Amino acid sequence: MNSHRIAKVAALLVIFSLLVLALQSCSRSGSDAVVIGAALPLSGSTAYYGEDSKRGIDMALDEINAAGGVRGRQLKIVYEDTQGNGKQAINAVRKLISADNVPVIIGCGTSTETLAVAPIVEESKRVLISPVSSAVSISKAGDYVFRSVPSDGMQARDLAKWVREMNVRRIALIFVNQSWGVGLKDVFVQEFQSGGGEIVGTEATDSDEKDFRTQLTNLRAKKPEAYVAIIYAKEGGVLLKQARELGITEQFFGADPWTEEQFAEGAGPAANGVLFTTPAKYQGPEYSAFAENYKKRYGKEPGIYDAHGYDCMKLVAKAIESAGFSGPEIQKAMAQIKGYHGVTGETTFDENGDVTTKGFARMTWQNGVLQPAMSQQAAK
Amino acid sequence: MGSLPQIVVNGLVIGGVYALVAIGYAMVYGVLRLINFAHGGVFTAGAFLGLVLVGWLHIPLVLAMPGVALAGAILGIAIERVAYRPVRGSPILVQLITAIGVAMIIENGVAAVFGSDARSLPPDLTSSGVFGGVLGIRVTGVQLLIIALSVALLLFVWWLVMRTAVGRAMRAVADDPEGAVTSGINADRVITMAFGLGSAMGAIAGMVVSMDVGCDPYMGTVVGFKAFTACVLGGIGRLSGAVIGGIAIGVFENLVAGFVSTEYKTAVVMGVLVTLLLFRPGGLLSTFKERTV
Repeated sequence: MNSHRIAKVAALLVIFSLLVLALQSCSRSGSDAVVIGAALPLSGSTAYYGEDSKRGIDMALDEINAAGGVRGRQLKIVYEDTQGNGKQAINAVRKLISADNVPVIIGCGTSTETLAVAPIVEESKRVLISPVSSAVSISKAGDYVFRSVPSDGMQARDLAKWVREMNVRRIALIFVNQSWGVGLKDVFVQEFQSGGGEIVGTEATDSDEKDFRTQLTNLRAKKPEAYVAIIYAKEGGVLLKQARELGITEQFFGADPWTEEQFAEGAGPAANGVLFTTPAKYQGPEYSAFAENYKKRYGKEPGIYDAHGYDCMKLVAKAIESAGFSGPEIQKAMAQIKGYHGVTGETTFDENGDVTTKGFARMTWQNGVLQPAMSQQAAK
Repeated sequence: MGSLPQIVVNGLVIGGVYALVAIGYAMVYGVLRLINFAHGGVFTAGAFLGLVLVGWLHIPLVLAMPGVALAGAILGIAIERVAYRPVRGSPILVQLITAIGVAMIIENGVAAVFGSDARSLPPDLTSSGVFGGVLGIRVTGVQLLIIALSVALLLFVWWLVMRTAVGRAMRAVADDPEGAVTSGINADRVITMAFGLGSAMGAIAGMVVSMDVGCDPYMGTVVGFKAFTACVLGGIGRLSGAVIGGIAIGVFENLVAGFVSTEYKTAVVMGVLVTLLLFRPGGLLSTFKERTV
């Protein structure tokens, strides 16, 4: 009995050490490659951000390596899952810094994650570049934090302007109580009110909320002329469906997550005619070439975050190529990038690591098809 | 305020769901004194099975529902056999960790198969008409179905537990496991029954919720948490307590959302729960001296 147990333990130990050896030789075989990190939500309710970006990143990575890598070395990327929450994002980034010793990390997804890890990358002097996070407050997150998506400050101003253009004076507001939602909401409220608009009711929600009936019932009682909902895709779909079921017929406005398929799927026919802003898809020659290759590789049209993931990877490679392999060198090179033409348009970083050279577009869904919103719809 | 009736109805719908899920926690806790954290996973599995059967294969609801119940029961029984029975009798912490592990396996298993995006049933199946009625209340067909199903299933469970031999055995094991075994009751079979029945309810609850608001792999976490809270509120291990607790939480959280604050909805509900338990540690239905069974 006893010797049996010892044998068992010994066998386990042998297997374990073999495993460790195997893993070690794995990493050794790639030791001349430059390792960079990616911390993105690959599971959880915002996983679409991570999955979309990852497809773009992988594609850019293969192109870079096929063309000889950077400074004569191949690039390798280690992905960590941030699960859409700040705590996991911190774990992921700590692991990438301490275990993989990466000088640069592509990430994160939600703004909550990016803001949570910003102090860590600042302190350890590693560059963070996000293909997704658009919260206003990220502008002030530090010198090592960059992003290829434009800040929500701009989006909020565009959205407020749009609502006013449609002659809506009294709106009801629903927002997700997270960095992204709060940041966008604050600028929107300021802009909308300073233009003479009135906000008759405000409701906050959690991400992952599925039951908006009571909030909608409350807001309807205030008789708004339109609703502005700054919430994510999955929640937005449910919200629209429930609003129409409750007999609410007023116009709904939203923000960038509503470009996701799952918004339209969740809302069903209720998605028709909703109006929302989203980072504009760049239509230049770089994009057409990218879209074509993307379709060949993945068999579908690229989304907006696929393109941003792709550009982030290319920007990282460009910075390494021009400066070196360390965090501070990459930071310096990144901050100096001016007029880079990628698949999301022109990238020039300002002193906050923000791009001011990309704009927002006005979009709508019509029978399951995402399309630019015509201003005539205003007449309705 | 004019919206009060609507808010109460909203609460009753979700309360019915909590009650169905809470029954599963209560049954397992009753016979095993184990908090089956994997139960939220069964709820999720039921939701996705509903998506496949009703949404993709277009199987009529009357056939799909027993199918989901059966599959849920099998999943629950399998979980008990594979994960809980080997550690039965181990310290409670071991069993709890096992339960959490099973919950994670189901959650991520579903995510691996279906992807982590939210899914919805085709609208032609779920937009089953809107009924506007008295007092300005509007409910959808699916919501009416949820209420009707909750009532029917809860009555069925009550009948089964209180009026049949199987139910008597279950109550006996819950009351006094050793005594029950010495008087010839097969405890393993009773435990299997409790898992099967509870999981069938949980899976059906998942299915109707997916018809109402769609599904995603992580949906079971929040509902499971609320349903578990309902059990504690009603007095853990009591079936009637689970039902009353579930409906109370559903209605109460909607009232808080409607009249106090949506932001602090969950916080207020939990605050009240904690306060209540300070005065009534055995839950709403208990007297001070009574054991929770």
